[in-house]
Amino acid sequence: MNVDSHDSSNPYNAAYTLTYGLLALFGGVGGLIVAHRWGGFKSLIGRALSAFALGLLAQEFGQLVYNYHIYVLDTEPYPSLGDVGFFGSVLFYIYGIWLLAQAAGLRVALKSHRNKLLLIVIPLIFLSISFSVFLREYEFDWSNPLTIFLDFGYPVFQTLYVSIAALTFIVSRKYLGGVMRPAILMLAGALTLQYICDFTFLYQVSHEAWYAGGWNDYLYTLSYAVMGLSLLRFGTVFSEIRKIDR
Amino acid sequence: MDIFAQAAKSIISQQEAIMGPLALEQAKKVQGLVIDKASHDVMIEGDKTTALQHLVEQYKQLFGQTAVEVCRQAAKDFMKQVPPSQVPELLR
Repeated sequence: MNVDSHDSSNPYNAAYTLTYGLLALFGGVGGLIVAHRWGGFKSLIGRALSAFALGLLAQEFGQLVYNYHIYVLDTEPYPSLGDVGFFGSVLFYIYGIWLLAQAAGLRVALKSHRNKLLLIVIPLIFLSISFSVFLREYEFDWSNPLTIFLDFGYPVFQTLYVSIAALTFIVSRKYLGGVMRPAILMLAGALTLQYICDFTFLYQVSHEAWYAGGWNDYLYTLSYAVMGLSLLRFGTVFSEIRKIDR
Repeated sequence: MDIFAQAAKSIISQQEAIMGPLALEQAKKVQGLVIDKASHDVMIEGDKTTALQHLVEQYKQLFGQTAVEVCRQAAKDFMKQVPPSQVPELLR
């Protein structure tokens, strides 16, 4: 069969696009189970893990709706109900990494003026990169206010979660240790990978280079897998901690 | 409850807010600490300074210096009321 690998409608691309979101589903469900072991919404770690898990599930919701638009309705998926999932996942990730940063010692670290400054400078760096790449020559079409909101909302809000992830790496150097350190840093790393995916997606879409089943989807596959494994790792750490004796 | 037991209770409660039920489990492993399951009231048997130091060490194994800082914050008001020589090293 002669197929164009850069074509969303070729059957291999379609099969891949329709299935890889399952990783987010498995990771999300597994993450919620692990979060429950950590006290669920009653503890900081439990809430953080729940937020990441719900973020993954929201991604899968977005994937399903986008796929429905692409393969069933044959319409442009952006903006659509799927963006409730994708944009919702960004909000879940911001909340999750904010809680995780606190568990890593952000509150203590923010007593230092240097770290307070970083809290402002890091998001500004990411924001200026996003603006210069995506929004510098933005043409406003006020007939589609939702599109304008999302065009600005995605890059702006995504810089928030990646900034807090970067801050988590920085404060963890001085304060975070023990058996939790690798698990927390792996999750912050998974979120950084998610940002690379989101950034690449926006870049490809803005340059009309994105297609379903392309290498951006491979990146998302990797991101979902790493995020899911990071959440499951907290389950392993939970069991390890229970075995620790004095 | 004496002042050390109150400090221990406050530390356990702060750690519970971070890691959930694991915090209580970890505290129960510390020799000298007797914890009431329902009220979370703490009784300390033996050397109180040592028991409190071991409690902080237990949490330090999990989160490193972050846990020590959380414990310091939680015990700060109680430790002001004991002679400096009796304050556990990690809480100074």
